[in-house]
Amino acid sequence: MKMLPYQNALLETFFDPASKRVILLRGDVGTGKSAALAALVGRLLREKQMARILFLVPATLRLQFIDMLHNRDCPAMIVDRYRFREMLDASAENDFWPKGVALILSIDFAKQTDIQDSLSTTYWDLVIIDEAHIFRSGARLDALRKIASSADRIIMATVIPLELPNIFPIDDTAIVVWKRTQLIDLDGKPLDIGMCPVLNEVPFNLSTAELHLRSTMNDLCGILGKAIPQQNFRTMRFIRALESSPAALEVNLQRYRNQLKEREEVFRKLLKALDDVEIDEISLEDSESVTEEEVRASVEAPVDLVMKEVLLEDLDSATKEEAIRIAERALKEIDELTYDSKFYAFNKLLNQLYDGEYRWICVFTQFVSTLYYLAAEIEDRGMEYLILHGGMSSEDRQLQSSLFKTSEKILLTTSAGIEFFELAYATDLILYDIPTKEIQQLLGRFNRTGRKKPLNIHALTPSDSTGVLITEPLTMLREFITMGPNND
Amino acid sequence: MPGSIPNLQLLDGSAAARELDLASELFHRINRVIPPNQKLLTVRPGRAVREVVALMLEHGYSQVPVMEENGEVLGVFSLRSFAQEAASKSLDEWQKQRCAPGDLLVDEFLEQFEFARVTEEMSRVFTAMERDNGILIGTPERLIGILTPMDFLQYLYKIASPFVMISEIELALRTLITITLNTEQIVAAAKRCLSSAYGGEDKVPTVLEEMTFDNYQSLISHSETWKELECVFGGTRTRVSAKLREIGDIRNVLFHFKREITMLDHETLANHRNWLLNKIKQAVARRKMEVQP
Repeated sequence: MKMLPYQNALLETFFDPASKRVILLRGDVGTGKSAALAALVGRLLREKQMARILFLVPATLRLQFIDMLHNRDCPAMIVDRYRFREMLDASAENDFWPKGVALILSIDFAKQTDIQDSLSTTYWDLVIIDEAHIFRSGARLDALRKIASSADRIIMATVIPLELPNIFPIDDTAIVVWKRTQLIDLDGKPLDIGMCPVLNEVPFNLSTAELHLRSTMNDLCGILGKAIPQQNFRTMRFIRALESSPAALEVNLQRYRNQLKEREEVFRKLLKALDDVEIDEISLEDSESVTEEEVRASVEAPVDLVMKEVLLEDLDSATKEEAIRIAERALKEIDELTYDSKFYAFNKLLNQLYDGEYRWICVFTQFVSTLYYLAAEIEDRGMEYLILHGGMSSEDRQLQSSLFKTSEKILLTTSAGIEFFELAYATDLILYDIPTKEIQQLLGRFNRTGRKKPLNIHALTPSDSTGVLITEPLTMLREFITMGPNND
Repeated sequence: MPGSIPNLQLLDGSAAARELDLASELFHRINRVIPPNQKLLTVRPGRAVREVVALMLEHGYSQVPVMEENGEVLGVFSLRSFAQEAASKSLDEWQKQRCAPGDLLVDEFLEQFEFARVTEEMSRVFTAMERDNGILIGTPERLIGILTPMDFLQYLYKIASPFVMISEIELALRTLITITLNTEQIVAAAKRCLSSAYGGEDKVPTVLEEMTFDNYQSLISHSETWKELECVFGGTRTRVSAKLREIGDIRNVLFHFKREITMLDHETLANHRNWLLNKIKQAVARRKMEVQP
């Protein structure tokens, strides 16, 4: 893979003998930070074969990083609890972290007390922290301080406009900023100028039965909001599922009902067994970002997330009974729904899109159950599809992604599904759900080096919805497209 | 390197390479049985029994390793070791001690557990587990974990339960089809829905027991058959079809050992299993109503 000039410049900065100890890398989505970091690690290991390198990344990105490093023939290994135990078991020494290999740890694993202690008593030639904005406060920031104390060099990376933790002396720090508008490609031309996406809003009207279901869900969210006003992420999740599809809402309601009915005690017991769950760290912002596919995407994370939710919701028995009753009513209403207006609008849109020249169509949803719901319909129309979500293995996802490029199939994906893939050749992105956050990151998958035509974005929006989870993301999407992908 | 197991490459030449081999990735050895987030509760030998018992009850443990400050394991203090020692002494002996049993130090009540390595086979520790009700993992100089029979039970349940749920789901689907369609109708539906996949009507399986999960899915999702099955499955064809598709994907992951089943996969299976259980209950209730005058 050829490196672009600005990526090479990062390597030169790092390997310059006069370089500073810490490099803060802030770059626009799609500018190739991960690839540059992988190349940097590869070069470091070639120059210093017994270097000790630590990569801290979100759990969902571990496999992608390891693939990227292996593709560059760079020795790399994921260390999780099992691997850590084996390393402990295999060595009588305290200095057991292997050299000559990039060790990839999830951020949540690294901040566990015993791991943090062990990492901080080991000398690291380089510590790289991806999505480093996660470390800005709380226990994570303390963990970062501790781990970084034993590192010779540190690189912290994140996307613009997110901020990085400010814990290193300025004299010790070099700041590298990659804004698309200021970057040039191999031919010396500005990167992707003039490729603003085109937004097509696809309105639809809700049926009487759908409006009735909304009213029932309002009742449920209302009593949950009263009972636990400080924790409205559950209601947010319900509303997002309601806006997504009956399939997504059904799954969420079933899960919730089961948790309330049977599983709360089991979850509580399990929670006790987890040493590293930090309830106080959940902010509303964090919880809003948790969707099915994000949870699925991680083998480590789901236990924590589900249990945190249950523990936080301490409903009294009357409220609990009422919540179960309304949830069951909503489930019955879903079962009786025979018409899905959003789905109908989606079908109509597909007909229009396939009426002309061939297109590479990618459909985005926030829920895995909606993904399968759409797959069922697409297959019923005699069309072929590909599925990508975070719960799939890295190999399966790579295969599906390459099939999308070479076949005439619709790609159905969640944001975790296309994480790390470059979809510059996609012609149309259908937002079956409008992402509530991280529109920039999602569009960054499509708006990459090599795009030849502007991306057509089709957003399905209920014309009779005033819900904040529809209007706000839609406003953000409009603003993002009006101002262009290159704005901060 | 597509197609390979990502975490299995490298470390060539390093000391760790000898241990971190294929076996640790592929085989269910002791390491896999230790709960991933186990936090070891240990106590120093100089702690009073009363305090330690309170600590154990607080954490829901019945045994706790006793360790020196340098990390060396002296033994295990357990409710059993305490009870055995306490019960073996006469009143005279207790009176000579001039203190209550709870005031004594834990190192007077230690029992010795066997140690096992994380890379050993599960079966290697069964005898010790049965005898002592637990086993220590690591070495006396470096304790890595502790295993109890409950850990084994939970681990085996975690592995086995998705397979059990898949079997329940498949059998439930069969039952729902059988409740609705008679033998002739099943044969006709199979020929209608599966011929293209099998390359001709004569090659199509016509008995439910011979059909695959994909066959059930095709049968149920077909627009013609759906008209007959709608009354037992409820909802819309698309939603039912989506559920079966999702189950089918998890089933593939499970039966082809593509990756570990996550908690949400488990929950999805459980949700869909419960959904089918409800449908069976409803169908049985309807049948009873039909039979009763």
